[in-house]
Amino acid sequence: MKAVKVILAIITGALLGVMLEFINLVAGRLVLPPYILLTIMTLLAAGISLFIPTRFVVIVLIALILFLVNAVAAVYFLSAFTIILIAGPILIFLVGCIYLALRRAREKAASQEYDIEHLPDCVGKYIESVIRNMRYRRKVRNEVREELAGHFEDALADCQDDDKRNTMIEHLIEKFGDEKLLATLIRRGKKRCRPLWLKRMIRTCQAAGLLIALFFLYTLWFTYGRYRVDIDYLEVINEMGRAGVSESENAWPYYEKAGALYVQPEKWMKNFIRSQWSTLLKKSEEPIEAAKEYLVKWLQKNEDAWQQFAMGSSKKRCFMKSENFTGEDFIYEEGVIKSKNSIDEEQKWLAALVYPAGNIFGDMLRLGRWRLWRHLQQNRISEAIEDIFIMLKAARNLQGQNNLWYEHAISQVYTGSACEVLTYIAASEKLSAMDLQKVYQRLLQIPLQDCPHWNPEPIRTIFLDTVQRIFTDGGPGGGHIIPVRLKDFYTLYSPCERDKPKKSLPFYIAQSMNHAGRDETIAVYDELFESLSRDLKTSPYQRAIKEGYTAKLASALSEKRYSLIHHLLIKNIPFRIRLADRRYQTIAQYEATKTILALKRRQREKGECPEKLEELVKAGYLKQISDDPYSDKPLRYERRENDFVLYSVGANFEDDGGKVFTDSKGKVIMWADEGDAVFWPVQ
Amino acid sequence: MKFERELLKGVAPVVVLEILSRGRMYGYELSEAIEQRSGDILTLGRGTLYPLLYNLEAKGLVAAEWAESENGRKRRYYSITGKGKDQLARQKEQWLQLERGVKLVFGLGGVELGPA
Repeated sequence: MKAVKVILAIITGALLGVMLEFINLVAGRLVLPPYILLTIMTLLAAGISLFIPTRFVVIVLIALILFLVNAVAAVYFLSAFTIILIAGPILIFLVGCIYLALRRAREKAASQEYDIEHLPDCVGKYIESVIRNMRYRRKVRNEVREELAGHFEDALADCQDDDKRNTMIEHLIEKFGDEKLLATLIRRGKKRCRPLWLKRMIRTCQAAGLLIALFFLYTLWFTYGRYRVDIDYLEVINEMGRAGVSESENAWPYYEKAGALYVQPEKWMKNFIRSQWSTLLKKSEEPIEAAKEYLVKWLQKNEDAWQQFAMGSSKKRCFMKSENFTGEDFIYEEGVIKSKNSIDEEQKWLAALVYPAGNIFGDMLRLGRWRLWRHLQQNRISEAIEDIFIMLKAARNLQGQNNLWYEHAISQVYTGSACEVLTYIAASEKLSAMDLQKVYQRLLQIPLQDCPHWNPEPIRTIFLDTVQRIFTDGGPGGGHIIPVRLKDFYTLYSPCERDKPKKSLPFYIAQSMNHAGRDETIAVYDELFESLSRDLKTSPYQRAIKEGYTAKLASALSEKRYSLIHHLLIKNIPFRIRLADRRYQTIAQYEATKTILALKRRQREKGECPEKLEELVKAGYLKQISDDPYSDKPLRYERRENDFVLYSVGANFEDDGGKVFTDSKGKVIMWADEGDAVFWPVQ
Repeated sequence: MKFERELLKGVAPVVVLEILSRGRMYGYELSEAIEQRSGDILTLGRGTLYPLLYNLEAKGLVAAEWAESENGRKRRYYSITGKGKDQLARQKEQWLQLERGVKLVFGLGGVELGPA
């Protein structure tokens, strides 16, 4: 019987070792090499099994088997049902073998018990009752049975007749006393007979068992906590954006209508329209006849859409109400949202916020660019300039204090395209000095360089919304992450993740246990967010001087303990910084465009370029000299023969003398990590 | 005479050790010996005897082993250990002192029955 129990315990220990390894793996940590852990657990379990009843060993074994079935199902992405179907017969066979082995062991043990059938029934029942109430190891119970039976045998040996026997039996049973009390006293005595080391080991095992039970209860409590959605952060974001915008001054209704009027290009021209504009513009190439014909018709069809867009651009501000996912099923293909997710009120995570305008502004940008191309092709410079200013005004009303980050990003793209074409026009020498001055004066009316930085507060709002949907309300540290909610978050927040294999609940439980509490998470986030917010408002050069405090702060945060912050903030820091840099780059380009117009005008009027830019300011051609965002000096200017070069030192913060960076295909990269960003001559 | 349980509780271990010091015995034999040698004054309930024996065994004062008796049946024999003998000597001394003191209190004093 003991041998069977030890074998069961060895199997249990092995499975326990495997289970702990599994938990180690999903938690991303390896405490000990696998074989050592396995060996330790096997020996420990085998040792412990000697002191606990067999049924407990069997229960733990079955629980471990079920756990591993679930774990294997999760790892190999099979349903638990499939696993059970496959492994079911094996499991049944295994359980059957265990049952038969235990039964056989029990029968064998029973056959070794001292026979008391020769004693009177009442004596036999009394002794069995005492033994049963003892609840101790079989060997000890057998010894006590034999000893008690021997006592009765000796006492009854001298009783010849039945009366005397019965009297003696009654006397003895009375003397022995209550069977339960006797069993308790005998059990206590026998327990005291155990050696000290054994007593210590048993106490240790009991303590370990208690800890495991408490841990199990803790895991249950931990896994199924409650969250509470107190604040509608979506409304908070919408209120932020709406601040100071009256409906009469709002450009969005016009843009929305423009989007509705917009005629999408046919499939065969889509890619061409997306990608060929810059190439055709810079190389002054002509598209193939069929494409050209189609483009002209397409532009005509979208005349109404552009007029709506133009009307919107004349407004002061643009506010678009943000929305959560609602409606029919969600499909996410090639970076484009095809339709929306079907979720109930509770699932309206801000992390799954829909930005309704992205497609519209993208369409209008492509339309604007091709209109410019057409105007230039047909030498309609004034129409081109008008369209340029429509784009610049649209860029302006997307750069409000409370416009979201993506609206600022769209604005920068519009500004960049407009400046690119304006510079191209200036290079074509098709504008007179007076025209150049007029364009310059109009640019002064759109002070994009004075537009505020985009407000990062909505990012924090998204984080706070996620916190209130993922964390419990109270408990140690302000509350803990609810594992199932964490799983929901990863599913909703990263739509592309839906295509990737899903982790199992134990993974999310482990991740939740590793994570900091609610209060701590918010405090750490706020500290990092404040630092990032400051960085976003400083120029690339000033940020480089500060030696990356935000980056240091972020790298010091453990990914296990602050995975939510990593996911919602740290991962996107490089992107946010690039976006902030884009603002400075766009402003530099805008200012450089104004400077170029002033220089060309001066060149037209005086026949040559000035020695220094200060001369332009003195002579009134230029209002001010623009700063270089990548240095503590203005944009670099150098007269070269009959021309000039105007550039920023670029992201390497080094003056390369106006040398651009080109990629392997010879394409000039404007704001690369090497080389300068040259605004003139046109590259 | 039925004695208070607490009284018996104190005297039972030393009585058992004393009896066993004279030779090994099994449970029934021991219970009979206690009654006989105490002149039927002391009777340990069977429900007290075996737990007591196991406690003494746990303390290392007695040792137990299975052996065949004269009639061929296996019995568990108890015998006093060296540690038990030391304990017995100490407890006997204490009992004698106690007896002297009680006798003096009861006014039966003045008779020395054992070493001072």
